[in-house]
Amino acid sequence: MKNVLLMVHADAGLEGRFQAALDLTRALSGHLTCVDVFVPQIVPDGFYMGLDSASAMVAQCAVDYDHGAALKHRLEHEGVPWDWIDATGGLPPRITDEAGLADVIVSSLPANHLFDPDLPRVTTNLALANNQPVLAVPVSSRGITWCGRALIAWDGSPAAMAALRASVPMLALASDVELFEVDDRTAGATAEAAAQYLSRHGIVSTIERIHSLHRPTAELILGRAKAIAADYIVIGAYGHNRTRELFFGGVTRSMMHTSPLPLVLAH
Amino acid sequence: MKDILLLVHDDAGQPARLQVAISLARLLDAAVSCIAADETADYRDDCASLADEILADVVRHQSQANHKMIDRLFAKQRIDHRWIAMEGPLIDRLCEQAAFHDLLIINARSTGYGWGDSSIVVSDLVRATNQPLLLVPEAEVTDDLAAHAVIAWDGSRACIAAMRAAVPLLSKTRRVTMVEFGPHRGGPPIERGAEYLRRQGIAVHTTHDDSLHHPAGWLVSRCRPGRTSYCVMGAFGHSRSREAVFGGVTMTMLEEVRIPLFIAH
Repeated sequence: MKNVLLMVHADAGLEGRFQAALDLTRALSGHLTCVDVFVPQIVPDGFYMGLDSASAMVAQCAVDYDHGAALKHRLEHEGVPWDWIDATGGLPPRITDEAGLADVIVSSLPANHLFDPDLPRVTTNLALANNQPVLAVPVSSRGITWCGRALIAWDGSPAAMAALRASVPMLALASDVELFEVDDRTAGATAEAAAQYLSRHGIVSTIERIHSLHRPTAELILGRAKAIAADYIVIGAYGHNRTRELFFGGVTRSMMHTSPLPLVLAH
Repeated sequence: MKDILLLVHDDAGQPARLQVAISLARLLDAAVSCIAADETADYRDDCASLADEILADVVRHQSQANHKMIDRLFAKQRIDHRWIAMEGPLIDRLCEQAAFHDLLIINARSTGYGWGDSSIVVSDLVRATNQPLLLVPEAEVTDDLAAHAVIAWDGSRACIAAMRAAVPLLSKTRRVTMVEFGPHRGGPPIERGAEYLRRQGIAVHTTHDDSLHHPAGWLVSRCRPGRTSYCVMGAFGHSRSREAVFGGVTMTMLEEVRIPLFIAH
């Protein structure tokens, strides 16, 4: 795992993403690829059709340009190898290509801004299509300690296994790895099998198993993460299909909306 | 890549599968999980006659002897291995188990049990698991997997996925060549792929061929034993119906190639 892809867009989560991506690139001694996404905004106005849109676009463009220039300036002093790709207007094929060639994609957890372009969703779609892990960083996060504690939310599903497999290079950096299992909501492979898999990669892990007592799973995971002062959480994304999650809610969805910690997601 | 899943069945392709599994396990310091089909199920239906029972007994003894032989072989080579009990349809169980392993080793073509139309089985597996597969020819294969790898580049998503999945193996390989055939058909250029591998610390040599041969035939000729030890490629870039009508590079490679193929979808 050497190729880290960062989505650059002037939103509230940019600083968090940037710091997390830098920390990860440094920890893996890898290479950082920044993709500058500029999504044109259409503002509905009355008589002067398009005039407001045009000025909004110019304003947004200027903001993005400033952010881009500032980030490039900072990158020059951070001492990691990097390159920069400008992509305008939605998702041109270039981003899809670059996303395919990344080992991990850094994105933000969804913030509550109604009219922001939905960057987290775009990234998740990209990553799920290509079978890669996504590092989703909360807006308030400033850097991640990769040599700290990792919590793996284990439920025995193929998605959890995929997340485990994808995050091995990161887990190898961690000082403590814990497999957390809610024992009445588990099926498939056991946490012992997961621990054995990790041990073949030279990663020592502990297993914590609790009974749900009808509490929501996401709450239990976050509670445990807080209790052991975890630095990040590894979790399989979308065990159910996504339409179902949208209607009935799901662990992935509630984790993405409530987690104060960075998540490593894979499908 | 530390967990290898190996299909065990006493057929013509087994020596090649075992050999590849052993050299891979040595190379990557990996453990091998052996999965074997329960063949006696065929003879154990409600209206089983005496002949069926005798046959079931013979089959059971044969597979037990095979298991013992494999146990001895792995013990002699000092490779960590375990058995996975399996009941029910072979393909379903293989897909299920493949999700919990890094790589599945099966034959590209086999005339053995349950492999009537092997390309259908292989394509089912490739499409169903999302996991990389190593498809081994039936014939004798090279002992030295780490000599020379060829990556067949076409810029497709499947090809990139295969390359990403093969990184642990490629980093142990002494010489890696990326080849592209014909005009570029979308996707990232070959140089971008080579750059990806260089960042992982893998030195790559790229070549491009514009000649007018058929792509599949050209690739088969590049992938000869002795010249190349294994080939990494994306599988089934087109839809299955299109592939069935027009044929495809994947199908031809499965049928004709004499070296292991590292495949992802």
